[in-house]
Amino acid sequence: MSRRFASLGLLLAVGVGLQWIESLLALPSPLPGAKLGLANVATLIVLARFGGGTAALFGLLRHIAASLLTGSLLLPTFWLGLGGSLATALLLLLLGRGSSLRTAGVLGGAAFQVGQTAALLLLTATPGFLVYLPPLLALGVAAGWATGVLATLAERAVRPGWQGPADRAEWWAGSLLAAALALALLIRPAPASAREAVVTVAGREQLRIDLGTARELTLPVAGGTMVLQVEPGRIRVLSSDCPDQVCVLTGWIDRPGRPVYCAPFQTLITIQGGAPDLDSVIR
Amino acid sequence: MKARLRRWAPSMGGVLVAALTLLMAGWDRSAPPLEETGFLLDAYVRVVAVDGDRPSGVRAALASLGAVERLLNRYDPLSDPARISRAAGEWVPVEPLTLRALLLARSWEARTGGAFDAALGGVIDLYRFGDGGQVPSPAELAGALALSGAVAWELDEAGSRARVARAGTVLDLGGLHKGLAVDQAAAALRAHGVTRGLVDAGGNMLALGLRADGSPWRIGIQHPRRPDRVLAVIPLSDQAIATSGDYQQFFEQGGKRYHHVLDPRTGEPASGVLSVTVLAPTAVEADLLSTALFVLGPERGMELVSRSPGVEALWVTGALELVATPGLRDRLEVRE
Repeated sequence: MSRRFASLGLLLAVGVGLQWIESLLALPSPLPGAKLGLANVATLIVLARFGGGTAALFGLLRHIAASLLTGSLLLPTFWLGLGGSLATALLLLLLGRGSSLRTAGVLGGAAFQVGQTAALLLLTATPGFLVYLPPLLALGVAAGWATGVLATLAERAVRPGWQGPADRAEWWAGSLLAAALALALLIRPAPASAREAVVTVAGREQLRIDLGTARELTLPVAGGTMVLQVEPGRIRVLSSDCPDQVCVLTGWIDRPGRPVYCAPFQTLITIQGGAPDLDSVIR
Repeated sequence: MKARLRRWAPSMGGVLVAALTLLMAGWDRSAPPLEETGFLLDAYVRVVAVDGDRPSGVRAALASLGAVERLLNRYDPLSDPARISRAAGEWVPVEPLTLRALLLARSWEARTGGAFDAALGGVIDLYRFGDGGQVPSPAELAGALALSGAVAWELDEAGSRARVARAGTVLDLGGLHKGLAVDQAAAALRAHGVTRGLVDAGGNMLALGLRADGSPWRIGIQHPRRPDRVLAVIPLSDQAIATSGDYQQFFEQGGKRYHHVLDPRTGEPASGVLSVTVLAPTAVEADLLSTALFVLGPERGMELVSRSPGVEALWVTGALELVATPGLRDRLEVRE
């Protein structure tokens, strides 16, 4: 019994570690919501070893634990992932221990996308997002097949360890995780977080603007108004009543460390999220 | 014993890995550098402190930026230059820092051959920058130029006082007061034990020591025609930097750009250069020289730089070519 717990604990650590590393690597994704899902290798090994019920619970735990680590707990991406994980858990319950890991991977990948899209529809109440489901399904199936193949190989490699007296599998998994963590430490890119612009007037934060969608905003300040224009990932002062027009001439800003300021209106616009590439830009 | 160890080893391994994971998650989250921003009369300022007594240091630095601004920005009617200009013909006692600024101005008037002029306020005012802009007539220009230049004002160092000879001369320390403010702010940081930090006043900066990650501060130089682009990057440590550009304050009339960097000899916007960036041991030198080297252009400017120890410069010419002094060429990371 204790061995079962130890194995599951280690596999959970491996799964969480893999999910975290995948989030750090920021692999290019053809569509938002599509990803490789490397961590599912751990879930599939649990399926082969401990059956559908354990694997279902394991998948959910792993999602929550990884969200804690990447800091996305309770953010929109967390709920989307939870939807996907719930759908996959349901499927794993149905499949049970007997199925091949490749089949489980493919079906699991598809189920995840269905669950994720369902969560998206629930969150946004926008049926239009359904058009993303077919391409996401195709990508999910492909990623699921890849992780299924990986899991088959990994499970085959660790199988002697489960049965032998020496706990080779655990050590194998532990060293794999340690190596992966070392790799992540070496690479350690900036945490990918949503970009937003923070507008400060006379030293006080006035509003935060999500830079996800294009729009224009009118900002009333003491002495006049400023019109801010947002495009995905960037913002600028489109027009301003101020005398010197320095803010308008500054143009677009798209990263931290390069603020737009308007001294006459005591207004400062900075971008938060992502690492600054420069400490400042001299003007 | 051995069997027991074997049984517990995986669990202990698991705990170890979990602990390691948590440790890594908390890694690199030591106190980030303290950063504060504020506004002066016409500029945005930012102070960053990495070490030392950071809250007091940053507060003192922002306070001294404001104090120098109030003392030396002539657009503040209570400032020393405004008081001197108003009291034409009379000696006006000045603060020690004003005296220092005026001494620097006096010495650089000569060293730049008149490319730096602390009495050009009357000419600048004719253009009405920041108020729509207006091109002065040749007669207006000639009149204002006659009231400018080194002969237009006097300094009594021993008596710590200054005066302009005639009414209409407008003392303007805009070519150096921001640099001096940055130097004072850096001194305030140092006085609070800050050895690593950044004083950023938009066009004038001073980098103390290294960043939190142990590398030099990285300062981008704005593209003179595409404000959202960076033309080059300069790594900076224990040095000041300043830029003068024809894009900071200007208006256009009849297809011509009238910008605020005026040639004191003609009273017209200096031509041939889009921007000049200067590195110097102090921010006041960098500030002052960025204006003078803009007016002089790369050829004559190179010669002035070679006579100024610790100074490097980068010109962006009208054809968007970069001309750097020899000491800067290897340090410059050109972006586009």
